[in-house]
Amino acid sequence: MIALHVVTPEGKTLDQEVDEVTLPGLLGEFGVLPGHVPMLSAMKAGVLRYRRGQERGLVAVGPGFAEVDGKDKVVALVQRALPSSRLSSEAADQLLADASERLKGDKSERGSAEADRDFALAQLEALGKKS
Amino acid sequence: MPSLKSIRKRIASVKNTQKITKAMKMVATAKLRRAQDAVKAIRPYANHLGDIAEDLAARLLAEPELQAGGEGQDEPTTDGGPSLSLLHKILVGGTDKRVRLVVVSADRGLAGAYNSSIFRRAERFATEIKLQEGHSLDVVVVGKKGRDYFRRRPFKVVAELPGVEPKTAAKRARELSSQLNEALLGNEVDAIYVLYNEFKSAASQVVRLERLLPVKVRTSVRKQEEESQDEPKLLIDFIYEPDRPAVLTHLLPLFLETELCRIFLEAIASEMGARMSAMDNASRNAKEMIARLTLQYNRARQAAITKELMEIVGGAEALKG
Repeated sequence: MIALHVVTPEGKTLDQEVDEVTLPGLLGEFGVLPGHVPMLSAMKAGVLRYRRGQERGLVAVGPGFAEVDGKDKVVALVQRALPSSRLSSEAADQLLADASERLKGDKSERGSAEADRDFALAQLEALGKKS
Repeated sequence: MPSLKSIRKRIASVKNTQKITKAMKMVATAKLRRAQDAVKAIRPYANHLGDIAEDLAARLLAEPELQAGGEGQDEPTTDGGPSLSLLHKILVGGTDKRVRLVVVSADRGLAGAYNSSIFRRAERFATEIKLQEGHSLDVVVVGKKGRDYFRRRPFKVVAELPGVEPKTAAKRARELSSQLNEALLGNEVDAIYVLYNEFKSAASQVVRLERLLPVKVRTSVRKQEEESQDEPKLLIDFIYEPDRPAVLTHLLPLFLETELCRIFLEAIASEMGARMSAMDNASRNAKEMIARLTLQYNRARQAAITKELMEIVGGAEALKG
């Protein structure tokens, strides 16, 4: 069993025992099984998937870091996260449209607009509507 | 003895003041609750990120060959980012000469000693820095009160930011962290300190002077490293993805931003807590004053009545005679 924690500045999104977890690393997705060596990876916005027995779950996450501590504990520190129960395609579409609008405009807004866009895309991916 | 009318007027005025202080207390209480929740939510995230940064710093310290800053030993960077030796200097440091101090004050007063205790600590810190040969200090001020204070004093102020509110904290933290990050990567400053009020509880706030960077490696961590010398595997087996410089370049701005955001939220919660207790005191003082004035008023009234009665009795006696 792996203790999986998803922590954001707004609080803990997930705190669960899982059998397997897949995280969106900067270099691509990587999976963690019990007994993984200690590791620290930068994460990009994407979908974090986990499995417990036959049960599967996912969380749309923003960029951040994942730490695997070698004692079967995985902590994903991400700027934002939405578990599948709180995902909605309307909200994601809205965010995406809003972000694309802002990307065209002011340069100073660019950083946050790109972050919003990436997170919106991550939500859509989590909903299985990958464009 | 003041006249009845003047006492009545004073009571009315103190009552008005009390109304204001009571209202301010209620507003501060409501805001405090929200700020408190935000602080509590961000603390685990910020602490964990801090632990990671500290852990990285401890590991860097454990590799003495890097401290010389020899370019040849640098791990190559994949994205043309800053070299490991520069990151090493930022994270672990060597010199502490050019110090940048971020002072977090409030926009508004009427919060007890909230602002003044911050300024007092800043003065003391500045004196400490000046006593050391070759050290310099510049200041980033957050909040109107701080801006007004430091403008009147011989400080080198490099930036003035408006005060933070819960809604703007994240955005301000992002702006300031990118400014500080540039200064660090451009090798303009060696160390970043932050001065703020830490939120303990609604009734108590503690002035904290914290060194954000270079990261302070707690001795306990160092000891741990020493103990783990018997099993050096622990140090080697840590995998960094994509690679260590890339992880550090990603971590550094995020660490700064998160810490600043936490500090801003702490400061807001402290300000509200300080204002709440200050206004509570003020309301209590007003209540006492009203009680005292009312007593005085009643005495004066009674004295006037007694005097009138005496006059009437005296007049009646005179008529009898």
